[in-house]
Amino acid sequence: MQFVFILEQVLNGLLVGAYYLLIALGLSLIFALGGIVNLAHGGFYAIGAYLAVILANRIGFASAFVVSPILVGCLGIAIERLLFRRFYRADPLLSLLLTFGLAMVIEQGLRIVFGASPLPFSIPTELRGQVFVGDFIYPRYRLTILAVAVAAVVMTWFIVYRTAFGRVVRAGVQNPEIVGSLGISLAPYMTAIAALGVGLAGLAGALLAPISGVHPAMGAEILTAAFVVVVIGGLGSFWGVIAAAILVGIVRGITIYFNPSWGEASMYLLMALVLLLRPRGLFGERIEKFE
Amino acid sequence: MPTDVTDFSPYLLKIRQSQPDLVVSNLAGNQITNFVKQYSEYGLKYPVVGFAFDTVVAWGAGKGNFSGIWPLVWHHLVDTPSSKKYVAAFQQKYGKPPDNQSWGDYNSLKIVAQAMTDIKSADPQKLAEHLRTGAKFDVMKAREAYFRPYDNQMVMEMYAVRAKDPASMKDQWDIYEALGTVPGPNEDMEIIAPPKDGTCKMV
Repeated sequence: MQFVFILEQVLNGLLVGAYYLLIALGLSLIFALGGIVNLAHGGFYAIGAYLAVILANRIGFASAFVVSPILVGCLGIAIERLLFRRFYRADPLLSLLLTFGLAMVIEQGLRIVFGASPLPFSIPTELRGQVFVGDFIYPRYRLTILAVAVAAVVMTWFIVYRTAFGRVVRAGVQNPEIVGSLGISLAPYMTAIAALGVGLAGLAGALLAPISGVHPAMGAEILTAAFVVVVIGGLGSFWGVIAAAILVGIVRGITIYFNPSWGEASMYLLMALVLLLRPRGLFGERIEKFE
Repeated sequence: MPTDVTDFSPYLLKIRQSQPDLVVSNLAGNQITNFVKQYSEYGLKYPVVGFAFDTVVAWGAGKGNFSGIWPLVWHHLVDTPSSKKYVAAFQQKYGKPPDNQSWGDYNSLKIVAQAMTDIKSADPQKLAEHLRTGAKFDVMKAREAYFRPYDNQMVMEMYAVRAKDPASMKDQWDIYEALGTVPGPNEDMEIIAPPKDGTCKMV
């Protein structure tokens, strides 16, 4: 019986991996392609959740889950044009300060507008309920999250690795000067990447709002976990963040099976272990401009 | 459970694997919202009770997510004249019922104000001495509250609430029903807090 229980935790770890992947993917993208450590990622996640709550009451759940990330992505365009753009070549410390400030502005802004209390929000009726495979339990909503996370990964992978657009972006990561000397302006590419990364944060917020409390500090709650996933995966690695999200989900599940009080610590221990063995993270690449 | 858990699913699986008679929560703040939402997501049917609780975190969970029996220092359905008056005034000013934290803020200020008036001084030392004399204060409950001199704990009535069936909720605030006062009207108020020697005499 014990083996079955552990297996159940491992399989649930895959679902949890989708949860971590959603919150980490946008962070990883902006980090990998723009070199910005976006501490405001949690803020955009919270804005996505609040927008989903507001929009769901007016245009329905399904539309809210689509429109909210797009609006957050548009906000990402404005932020990139006005702020991020000035910091790609600057000391990373400055962009850390910028995004840290931005995170506080967003959190307090939400508090001023919506109050400190959490806003009520539930899973839409049609997605409630559980799917049973044998004795294993899978909430229908988590399976939806898994499907959306897979779709988001495929879409991001296609854009970055299979289009001419992605080729320019990846070249820009390695060597912006040469890309510039070929007569290509990187600016619109970076705007699009920021919109995508910030939009993914909004998507995570909208999707996780029905199963988390929607309150101003919700972004800060997930930010650390998102960073742990990105660091374990390896800075700049697309596949690394996916592997790390699944690994964190499974390691956490197994730890909680044996000792619940170590559950949250397990991901930090995993990070420490990975960094000891592979200082660049699981699939960390060598990026010239960060050397 | 450690603090600051955002995803409860592995813990919920463990609860389900152990087939408990009762799930007792000792979470606090926004974690309670996360927990009750995901407990409802996994559709677990074991009865839930809890220790620390605030009405705001239950109101913030959303329809169909809140379940169980929970304790409160005060809630907006408390049936005393002063409590009803407070709820009506708060509702009129802010457009929503007051939660237990607002009750706490309002009454602690009133207690200090009343104590200052009684002793005609704002000296902190004198105030503290006065509060330790067992002075009684109206805290909108059926019985007056007082501070126990040997550990400075406030002794007063508590309440229990039970989550309502979602179908019978009138609005987003109408999510629980009052289960009465703890300790009961004929019991000594101190039985819910351990007495001086620290042993529990509830059983």
